Formats: sequence, structure tokens, C-alpha cells
Amino acid sequence: MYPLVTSCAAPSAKTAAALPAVTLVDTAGQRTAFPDDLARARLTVIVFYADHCPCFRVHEERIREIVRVYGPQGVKVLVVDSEVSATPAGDAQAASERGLPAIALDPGARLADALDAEYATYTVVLDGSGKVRYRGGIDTDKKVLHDDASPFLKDALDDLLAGREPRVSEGKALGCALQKR
Amino acid sequence: MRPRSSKSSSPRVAAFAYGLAVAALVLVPREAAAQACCAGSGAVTPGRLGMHEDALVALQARAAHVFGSFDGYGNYATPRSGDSEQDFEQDAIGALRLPGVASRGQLALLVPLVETRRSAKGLSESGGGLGDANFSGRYDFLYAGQNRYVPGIAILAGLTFPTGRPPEDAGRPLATAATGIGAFQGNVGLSAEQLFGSFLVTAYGIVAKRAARTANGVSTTLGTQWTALLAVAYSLPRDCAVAVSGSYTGEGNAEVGGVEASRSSRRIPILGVSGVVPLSDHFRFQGGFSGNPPIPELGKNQIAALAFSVTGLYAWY
Repeated sequence: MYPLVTSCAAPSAKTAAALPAVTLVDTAGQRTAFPDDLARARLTVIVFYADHCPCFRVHEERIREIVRVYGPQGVKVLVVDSEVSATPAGDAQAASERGLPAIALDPGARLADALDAEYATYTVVLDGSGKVRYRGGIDTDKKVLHDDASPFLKDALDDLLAGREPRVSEGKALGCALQKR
Repeated sequence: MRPRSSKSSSPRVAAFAYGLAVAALVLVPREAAAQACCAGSGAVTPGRLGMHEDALVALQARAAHVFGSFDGYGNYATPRSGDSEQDFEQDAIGALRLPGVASRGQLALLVPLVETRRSAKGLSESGGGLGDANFSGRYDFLYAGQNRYVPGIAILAGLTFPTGRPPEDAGRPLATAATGIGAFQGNVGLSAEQLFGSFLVTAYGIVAKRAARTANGVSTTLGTQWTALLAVAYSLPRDCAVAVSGSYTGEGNAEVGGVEASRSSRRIPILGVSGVVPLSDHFRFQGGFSGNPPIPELGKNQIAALAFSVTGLYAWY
């Protein structure tokens, strides 16, 4: 296969200082203040969402699994909608109908811009200090799930929770382009 | 991008450039739900990489039947009794995305084999060989769908090499062994594309300049060529897509021996329909029909043909 992992080197050192001081409100009414609230979880996984993206849709099953497996281990999963057309009502309906975690709106795509999010399914793992520990795709799948896909996000979480550096710290996100403006 | 310039006796002129453009329009279909998943659509080469694709290889086959021609005054005529022509082409295509910060850029190489079967003046012959190879590039400053109001914008550039056999070297009465124009051709263009629900609208313009060449001891320079194209693609479920499109190619008078040759300019419209059917995330087929409307005045110094093309493509991402 053509090189899919764009880099195995440490991701660019986006730290808490680089994160915007924004507060996202999700469809369950929960507020997450960046970067301060990051310290309340061992790790925070941010998954960028696009309503009609088929690439995101096929990955919803894997996102639910991440929540189920890693939530009890102190990992917070935040699905973020940075698209200009996003509405609280639309996201609430999507989260409810599709069994997703509550979706947080990112007005002005400030968080997406700060984390270089360009595509749906793009995922960032932040530690309690706000440092980016993994960025990129959830796995190597695009619109069809394969059993032999490389589970970038899962591997990164396993490594980080075990106190190791992620074996792959930057993967390729294969989702739809986010319409942020 | 490959608006291949006129082979003096061939209908492939703008038709081929058009075929490439239209086929590529649906090369990477949009998602049915109108998200900007594959907003890299709307291309000007079948070798265009879709969003997230890093490389591809493709084989394209094209067949065309000539059903008429336009003279230097724009008059349209059907072939004389007994005259006929069919043109065939097989292209090997490869494309590669640039690495790192230049990843919005991509390069493509197209190497054609060209065959012609022609009957005229009581003669009938066939010939062919390696055509003019093309190297092209594209850089997307913005992808379609990333902004509600600003379309995706890309610049295009290409260089065609005279690797084919020019008409003066064809060595046969009907010149069926001619497979190229015998000159370098450089072209630049601008592409704009935007999503409207499940529709992707693409427009582009390309200007091509041909280098001078010497044929039979006389210096000849083909006129500057321009091509404008408008196409609309519609995304269907399962990543299939269909497109309709139209283009118009014009070319100024040629210079022969330093003197402008009057009434040597050319123009030709092309209309077409095309589609794409993916078989997997990596492999897809595309194909379509295109033709030159036999309407007087719309064409000039060109042959009118109906063409069919099909492409099999494997991409890595």
C-alpha cells in the first residue's frame, strides 16, 4: 500500500498555549472550556464531524466503541461540528438518531483552525496539559470498514494510557472537507 | 490538463482535450449527500487525483468515428461517398501528489498510443504509433465545498512533448501514420468549481501556445489555442456520478514561413456525457460519449466526430 501514514514523527508541538480560549457547548448542554477543562480528563479525543459525510458515518461505529472502551479509563470523547451550517438542533438530532456522543458546536471554527482540522473524521488527542499527542485519522479506512485497518486512534490511546509515546503520532484523515466558512 | 493541439489531419484536436476534461469531471465523484468529501472533482485530466489520493495509474481507451468536417469558412459537410475515418487511442496515465506542504499540488504524465484508419480518394490505409506525451500539473488553492461562496480554485499547467510522428513524416498518402503535431506545446489554465447540493459545477479556461517547427524546410507555428469548458456533474449513491458538459476550442491562424496563413484558424465545439462507477475505494471505471455538433459556423477547419472512451483507474491513498 502507498504510504498512508504521513509521519511517524512526533506531531507538531501544539500545546495549551496554542489552543484558543474557547468554550464549546455540546448538544447535551455540557460546556468544555479550552484549555482549562482538559485537565479534568486523562486524555481528550476531539473528532471533527460533518453531518452528511459518508466517511464519518461509517466510522460512527468505531467512535461509539472508543467511547465505550476508553470512557471508563478517563478518556473524554468530544465530537465537534465546525461547519458553518451547523446548528444546535441539527446536531442534537444527529447525535440522538445516530447514537453519537453529544456534539459540540465550534462557532467560527476556532478550534478546528487551531488544530489544523480540514476534514471530517480528523481526530486530535490532547493530554491534560493541552498538548497534542496524536492527530489524524481514526484509522486507515475511508468509506468502507475493513477488519485489517490500522487503528491509529485506538493504538494511540492504548500507548498513551500505558505511559508510552504513540507508535504512530500522525495519521492521515480520509474524510470529507469541512466547510468552515 | 492536456488540451492537445491540432494534429493537422485529425479530429482529435480539441476532442481529446475535451474528452479528458469531461471524463475527469466525474473521476472522483461527490458523495450523494452533497458533502465536500471528494471536492477535488472537476478536473482537466483523467489523471487527476481525488481528495486524499496520493497516486494513481490508469489505462484509457478511446475510439472515434468521423462523420463530417468543417471547412475554412465554417461550412459543414459529410464525407464524400467512400471516404471514412476512425481514430483510436490508448493512454497510459500516472499521477502523483506532491509531498508535505505542497500536497495540494499534483503532477500527471500521459503517454498515448494513436491509431488511425482512413479511406479517401479511393485509397484505404491504417497507421499509428506513439503519440505526443503530456506532462501536467495542478495546484488547488481551495477545494470546492470548503467555502460556501468562494469556489474551489486551481491553476493548471502542462507541457506536451513532440514524441509522436508529425504529418510530414507520415510517409503515406493519407498520413495515417501521423501521431503528433511535431512541436512542443505549453499551456496554462485556471479552474473554478463549486458544489451545489449533489451537483458539482466546473468551469475552466486554458490557453496553449505551440512552439515553431520546421516541416519540409518551412518554419511553421500553429496559432494560439484556447479552450473553455463548463460541466455539471451529479453525484449518485455508491459514489457513482454522471456529468454533462460542453466546451469550445478556438485557435488562431498559423504562421507559415513567417507569414500568417489566412483562414487557417480553427474552432470546434464539443458536447458530452460521462459517468463513473467505482468498484472499490481504490478502483473505478469511467467513460463517456462526446461529439462535435454538426452545425455550420460552429466549427472551422476541423473534423466532426463521435467518440467513446473508457478508463480503468487504480488509486492509492
